[in-house]
Amino acid sequence: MANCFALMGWSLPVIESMQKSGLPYVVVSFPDFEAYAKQHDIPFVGFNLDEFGSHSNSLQLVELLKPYNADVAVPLYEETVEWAGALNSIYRDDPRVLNRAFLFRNKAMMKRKALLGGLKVGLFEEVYDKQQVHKFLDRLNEAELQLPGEDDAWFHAKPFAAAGTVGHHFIKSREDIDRKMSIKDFPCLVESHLSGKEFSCEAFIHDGKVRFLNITEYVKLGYSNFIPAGPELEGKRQLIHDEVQKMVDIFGIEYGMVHPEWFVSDDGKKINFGEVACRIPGGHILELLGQAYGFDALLAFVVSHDPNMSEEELDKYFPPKGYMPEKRYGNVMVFPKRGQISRLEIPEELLEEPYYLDNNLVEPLGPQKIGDREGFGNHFGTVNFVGEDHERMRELLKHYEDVPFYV
Amino acid sequence: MALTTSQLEDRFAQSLAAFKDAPAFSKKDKRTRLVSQLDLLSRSAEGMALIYERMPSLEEAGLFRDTVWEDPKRLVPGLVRGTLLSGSPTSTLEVVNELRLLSVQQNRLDLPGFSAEEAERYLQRLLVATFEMAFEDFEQKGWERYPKGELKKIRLLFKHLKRYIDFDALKPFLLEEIEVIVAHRPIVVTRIKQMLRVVHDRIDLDPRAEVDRKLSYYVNVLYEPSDLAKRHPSVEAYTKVLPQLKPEDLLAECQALGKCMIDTGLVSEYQLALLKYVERKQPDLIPAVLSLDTHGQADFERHGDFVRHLIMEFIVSGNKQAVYGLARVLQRNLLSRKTTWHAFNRFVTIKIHPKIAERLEQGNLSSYELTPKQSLMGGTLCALGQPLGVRQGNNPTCQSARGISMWSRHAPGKLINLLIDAATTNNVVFRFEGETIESAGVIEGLTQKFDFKLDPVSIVLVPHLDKVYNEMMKKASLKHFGKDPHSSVNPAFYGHWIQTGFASVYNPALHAVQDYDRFVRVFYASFHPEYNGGHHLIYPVPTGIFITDASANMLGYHAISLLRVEKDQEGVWRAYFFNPNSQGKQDWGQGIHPTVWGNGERHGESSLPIDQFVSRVYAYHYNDLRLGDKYLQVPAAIVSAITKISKESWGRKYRWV
Repeated sequence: MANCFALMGWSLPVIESMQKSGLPYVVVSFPDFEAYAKQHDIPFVGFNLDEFGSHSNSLQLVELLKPYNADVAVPLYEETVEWAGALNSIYRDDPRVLNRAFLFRNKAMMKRKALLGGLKVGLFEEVYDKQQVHKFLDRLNEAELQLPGEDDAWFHAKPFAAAGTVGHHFIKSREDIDRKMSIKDFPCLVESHLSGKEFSCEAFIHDGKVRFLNITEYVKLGYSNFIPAGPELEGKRQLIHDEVQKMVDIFGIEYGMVHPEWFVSDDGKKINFGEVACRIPGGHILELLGQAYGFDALLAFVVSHDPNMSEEELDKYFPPKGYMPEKRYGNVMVFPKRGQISRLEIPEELLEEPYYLDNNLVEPLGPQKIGDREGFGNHFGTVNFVGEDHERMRELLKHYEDVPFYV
Repeated sequence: MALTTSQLEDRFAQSLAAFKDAPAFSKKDKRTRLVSQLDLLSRSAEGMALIYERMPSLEEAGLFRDTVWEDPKRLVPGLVRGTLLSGSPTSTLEVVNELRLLSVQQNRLDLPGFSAEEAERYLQRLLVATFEMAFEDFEQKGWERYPKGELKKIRLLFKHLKRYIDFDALKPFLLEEIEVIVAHRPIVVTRIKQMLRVVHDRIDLDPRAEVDRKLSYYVNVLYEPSDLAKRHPSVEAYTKVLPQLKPEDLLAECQALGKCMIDTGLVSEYQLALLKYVERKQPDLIPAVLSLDTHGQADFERHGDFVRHLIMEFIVSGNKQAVYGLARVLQRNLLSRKTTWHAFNRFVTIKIHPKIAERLEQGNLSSYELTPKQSLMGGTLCALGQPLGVRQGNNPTCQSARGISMWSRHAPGKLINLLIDAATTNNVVFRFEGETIESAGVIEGLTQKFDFKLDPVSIVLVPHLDKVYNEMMKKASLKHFGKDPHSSVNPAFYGHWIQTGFASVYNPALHAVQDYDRFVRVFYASFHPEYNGGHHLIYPVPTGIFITDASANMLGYHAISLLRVEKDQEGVWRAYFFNPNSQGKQDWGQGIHPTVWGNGERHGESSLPIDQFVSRVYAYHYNDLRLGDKYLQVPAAIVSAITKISKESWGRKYRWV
């Protein structure tokens, strides 16, 4: 078992879980948090976790962590994945651990690795300006055997290293390239569109094996999801499990949790790889997961990074093998609609809904103007649901995405 | 199918445990979730009872820690109405807080430093302050804009509270509240009428007890103002019996009802019916129904036809308080002023702009039909008759309310003229330093929700005045950079009688309070008869004050008018002032309690001993030509005593040089 977990990044829910578990930990984050950490007795090392590069001095960080006896680093955010990789390379005396971390942070490299290993991915390229995007579309259209007058093929443009949907553009025509993309988007990855329903899963990996697999059903990406997924996806659990294991093998992942996104092919028989991250997923997914399966998923996330933990020890942190909960937990993230808002108004119909569990919506301090959202950022809280029927759950989550909670 | 209480109870228990076990840094989020469970529970009687039962564990878990409810000693019953109506989570926490205090009162819970007696006293004051809500079935007009579930929660709360709080003990507070309103005479009397309705409908009064007797006097003003009304309780029957009265009995009836009104400022349906009757059959009795003295009678005799026209056309059940307004207008001899007379004659012929008509209709919170024109004419009678009865409601518009009040007193013609503009064109024009400002051209102003619990004149004018005032302030801040914009805006907004001298405690260039000594001295030398050569004020003085809470913490700024400085019956020099958001009793901390009656106040005035008053002033206008060196004669002891009070209250927020 680890001497001390170094949590890379600032996350109060994770700190709370660590405090309750009594496991030794230390938080590594920007020095700005130091005063707060001190006030709340949170073991803390202030460090500028800037973008990782050749100038980054992980040895210095190792030194700073020595007094805490840290021997396992846990990345909490996209931006700290390389830092954790660097530390774990040192702790495990294996330089390839850092290289694997780069895989998660460079989407082009990730795709190449997947391709090499035999996962189905789209046609992709790294591009540095709009000109190259147009050329990419030419080649993509050509490969799709487009005839004059036919619609352009669809593709996606995404930054090499950003969480979730941040900076993501879905391009559906040549005009879209100039309309949606600007200089600040480059360089980036472009990839042909994989059709099919998108879903994500969370696989807790220990010693290169999938220890626990959760399947999350998105009702609307970035707004609402529920756990466990409906029977359509849960019915493919074995297939998904096998594909995840395949991916883990290809990427050489040994410890931690991966959060890949997949597309179910139109015939429902195959799943195609989208991308993968190894930090805490957005959308409060681990919180839902914990509620649904009755364990502390954030704590499980942390301990699965520990190579020294035995299988038996690990079992204490997970639900029993093969356990399937009866009730589904779902949430809707509430984003005020664009425009002026002045107060919170919870609809009466929600309060009469038996599936409604609770909410943590914040009250605005006064009238304010709401702009556009980016990624999972700036939501005003979540509304939580619980119930057995997946269809009812879908219906509710879909419905409450559009209900205005702020007026 | 809704969840059962036991299912809710399970969830509540889980949520409470999560909150209790959470470390300090995640309490806030867990509290929000817990409150969302409490919200669900508080919507049923069983749930409400469950919260009450679990109150000790909720308190132990620290539900109210780091919230505005934390210290029960600092809670203000007068604010509860607002929080209860503001929607969950605030309304939920407020409901639970009441159950918490009830638990203290019932000795089921200990709050350090807050006794069961204090809790009881608080709850009694709360029930009085929220009286209409506590006894409301929410069927009346005006409630439909609130979510039904929220109203149900409020209803259940009061039902629960009333089970434990002895009603008889409330009566003295209730009486006090009523007496304060009667003494203060606001134009809008919805609240006191609702209170009296509830007392009439639901409360048994014992004629042997003095408090009950006094209460029943006020109830009777509306429900049984005379023997005749007692014998013929329906207004139809009462009206039918009037022609059978002997002339001396009819006169006595008119005088009796007139007296009720003049003593309380309240107009009953019976009085309205009587007035309408004599207007048709025996107009010479109108002065008796209006309880006019010789001054008022003289004005009536001169303008009898016009007065009859007003009664006939514009005064109905929906605005019957206009009867009192009319009586006061005649007492003030306003119709005998040339400008007012002509303005009013033109005013009654106007065609109201559709947008204004819409606002007036929204403003009718009574259950009676009322046309926009009736509403406006009746409202104008009230505003002219009771200049100090104007209030700002829940709107941040003290300047506008102060203006309406000031014009009603000193420039009624100007007020009516403004009303004609606003009501017919939905626009008003003001001059400001060589430019003109039209309210219709200004976008910024009252952007937030407008509280319609106002008199019709305010409903028509305030949105316009607020825009004009804001625009003037904006222009002044640019034009006279570094100077307090009020000094140039006040004369332009209120009128030429605002004095040209201007004193402020604050020097914006230094970001500090500067020369406070002189500020106090000039105030005394300008307004205090012992130091200004024995003079009374000629015009009201627009005065800026710091609002402070019961612990003397500064809350913000407020606009009032200083009306007069005189000795009260005890020989204390007092400042009498108009406060547009006064609801009667207030506590400004440091033992400073503005009063509205009992210290020589006229209807609508508030007052304070002059030194206490000065300790809250931050800006005023004065006449610098007449000042001379009088300010040097103000004793240093007075100045230093006031400086001490100021420094220990609002002054804590400022740097002093």
